[in-house]
Amino acid sequence: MILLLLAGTQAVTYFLVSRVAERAARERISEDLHDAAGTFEILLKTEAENFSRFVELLTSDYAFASTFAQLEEADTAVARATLRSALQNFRDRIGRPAFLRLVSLDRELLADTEASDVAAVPAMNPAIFDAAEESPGLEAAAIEIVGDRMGLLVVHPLLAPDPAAWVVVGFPLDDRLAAEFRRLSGFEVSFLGGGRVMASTFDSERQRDLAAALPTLPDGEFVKMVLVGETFLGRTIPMPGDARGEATILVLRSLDRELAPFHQLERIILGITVVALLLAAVVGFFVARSLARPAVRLVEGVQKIERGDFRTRVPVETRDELGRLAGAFNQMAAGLQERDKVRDILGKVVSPEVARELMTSATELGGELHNASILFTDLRGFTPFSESQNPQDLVTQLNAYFTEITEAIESCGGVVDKYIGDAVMAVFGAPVKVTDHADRALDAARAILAAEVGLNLGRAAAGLPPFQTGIGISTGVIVAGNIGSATRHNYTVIGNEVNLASRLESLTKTLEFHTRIICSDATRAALQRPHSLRDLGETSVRGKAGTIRIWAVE
Amino acid sequence: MATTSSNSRCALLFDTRLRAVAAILAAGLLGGAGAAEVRLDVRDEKGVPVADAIVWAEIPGSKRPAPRDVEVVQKQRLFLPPVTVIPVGSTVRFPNRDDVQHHVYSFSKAKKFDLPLYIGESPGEIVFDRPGIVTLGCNIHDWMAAHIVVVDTPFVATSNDSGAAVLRSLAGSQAIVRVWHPRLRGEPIEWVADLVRGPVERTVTLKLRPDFRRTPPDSEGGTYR
Repeated sequence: MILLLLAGTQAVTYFLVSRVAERAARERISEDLHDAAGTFEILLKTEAENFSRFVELLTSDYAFASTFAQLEEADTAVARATLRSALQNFRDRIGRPAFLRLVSLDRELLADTEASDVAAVPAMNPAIFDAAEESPGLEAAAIEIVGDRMGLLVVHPLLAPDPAAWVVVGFPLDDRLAAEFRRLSGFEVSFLGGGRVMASTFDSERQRDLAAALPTLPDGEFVKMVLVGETFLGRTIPMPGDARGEATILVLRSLDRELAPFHQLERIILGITVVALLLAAVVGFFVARSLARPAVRLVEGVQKIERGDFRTRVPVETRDELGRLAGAFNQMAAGLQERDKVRDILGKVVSPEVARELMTSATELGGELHNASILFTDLRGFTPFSESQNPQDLVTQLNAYFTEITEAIESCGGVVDKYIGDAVMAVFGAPVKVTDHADRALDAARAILAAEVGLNLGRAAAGLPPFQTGIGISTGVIVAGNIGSATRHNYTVIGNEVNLASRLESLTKTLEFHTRIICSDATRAALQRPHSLRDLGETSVRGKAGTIRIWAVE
Repeated sequence: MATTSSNSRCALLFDTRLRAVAAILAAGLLGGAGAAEVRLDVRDEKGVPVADAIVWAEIPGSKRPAPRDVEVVQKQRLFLPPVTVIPVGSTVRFPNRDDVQHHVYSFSKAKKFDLPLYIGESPGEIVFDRPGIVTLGCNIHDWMAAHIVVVDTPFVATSNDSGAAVLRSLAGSQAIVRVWHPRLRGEPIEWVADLVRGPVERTVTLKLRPDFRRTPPDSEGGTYR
């Protein structure tokens, strides 16, 4: 958006500058033309006057007059040749391209520097002599066009000391003169005569285009023409000494060349604009990215947090609001990670349910009463076996065993309260209250034995003795809660049922019972689903007054 | 303005005619023969009276005038007098009264001569033995020009400011009358005048060229003062 605005502003500026530049160039050419036209006229008039002065030097020349007087006395070939030679001598004195003629007062051509045979010279227009006779200074000028050549003729009387003949000096208006004028004025110069281009500083190709444009050339006005694809501005100037308006000087200057510096400026402006836009785009991109990237990272971080990846952190690169937000995010993530770690450790130390209970309820000392079932397992003959194993192997085997047992317990909704040596104590119905805790305990017991079968297959293959687990289950009211000191406590259950479950487990070793699982009568009474139980009758257990009825779980 | 001028010319013409009639009457009364007059009114192409035109008449068989000795001097870088009329056979001296040299020459058919750079007295006398117009020049001063009119007759007159020139006491029946002026284009105008019928009145129109000649510089100092 900003880029578009910037580009638009630049485009408008560029357009305005180029328009002003072109108008300035046109005005300058016009002004130059105006000045040049004035200078040119003065220059040409001065030239024409100089031509006249040249002629005057000859017409007052005693030696030349005497040469002419000799011809008057006796018109011989030698006299004529001498006269021509004298004219040529004078022509060379001028030091400029010129041709000279001597014409009698009766307008008969007597000598011509450029032709030995005067009869071969085209007849001159007598108008120039008429004009000279009428003029106060007995002088006249005219344009002579012979073939494709044009010349400025100046006529003066030969003074002896009265007028005795006409001296004609012609100055060719040729390419050389045009080139000299161009050198002085800086304009392209063309001499036009009789509707044709007689001489020009242009090359032949442009001259051809110019010749084609001549019929429509306005007179004395500013002209604009295109020659070989190049635009020229200029004007026409009357040829000094051309009384009859036969010749014109056309001065032109290339508008394209005049505008070249402006075009270069335009290109520079265009270049700067493009570079500035690119730069703005790049800077804008980086600024946007530096703003967006932290935001994107934060979003990604939040999403990772949402997925539970609390290790995620976002880099803090700036000190602005986003940087502070990133810092806050990192602190939050760190907090979350720590909490997660705590929960994880808690989950390993205590069962997930206990952990959850600890996390959700206030971790304060104190307990509550639960109607629950306690399951107690123990490995038979483990102690003698453990003595024959190295500790590393023992822990490995025990861990494999506990993993299976724990899985079986948890799959049935039980909570492992603690591991005591090779024994496991589990609770059903606490901390989460359920009504079918007795059924769950029985299911768990069976699941433990089933798991044990699988475990023992592997052990047999490894040449190890099988595990044999005894399980006792009791049901009743227990106290569950955080028990310990103010600084160190854990969630556990206590009550008579805990002890009873342990005693019942011991009873499974009693051979005549032929069972691995024994539960109390209270457990049986709490069952909500039918289970296969075998009545083992009344028995007395240690720490318990009287007898209790016990059942074998089939 | 034009009307006034044309009126005045008419008046002038009328006046001239009156005088002519008076002259004829006078001649008749006097009864004198061989004393005719040619009265000329010299004008340029615009009708403006021309002064200083030289008019002379040659009458065949008339007595030749005696040659004279005259001087054309150079003074203040000018020829003086500008026009000299002399009979054929006259001798002219060209003393130089300036403090610079002059080179007097003539390319005219009537008399070509050359007096290269000199100062003081004329290096020689020039005898003008043919009738005609001789133009004098100075080789080193373009503006210096003078004329010597060599005539074969005693009957010579010069037009006054109103362009009038009168040749008197012309004895004979016919006369070749010539008119010339320093600025005349071409040869002198000439015609044959019949003197038998008394005085001849004639208006002569001269084709004059402009006075193109450069004026002499003011003083020695030139343009730097």
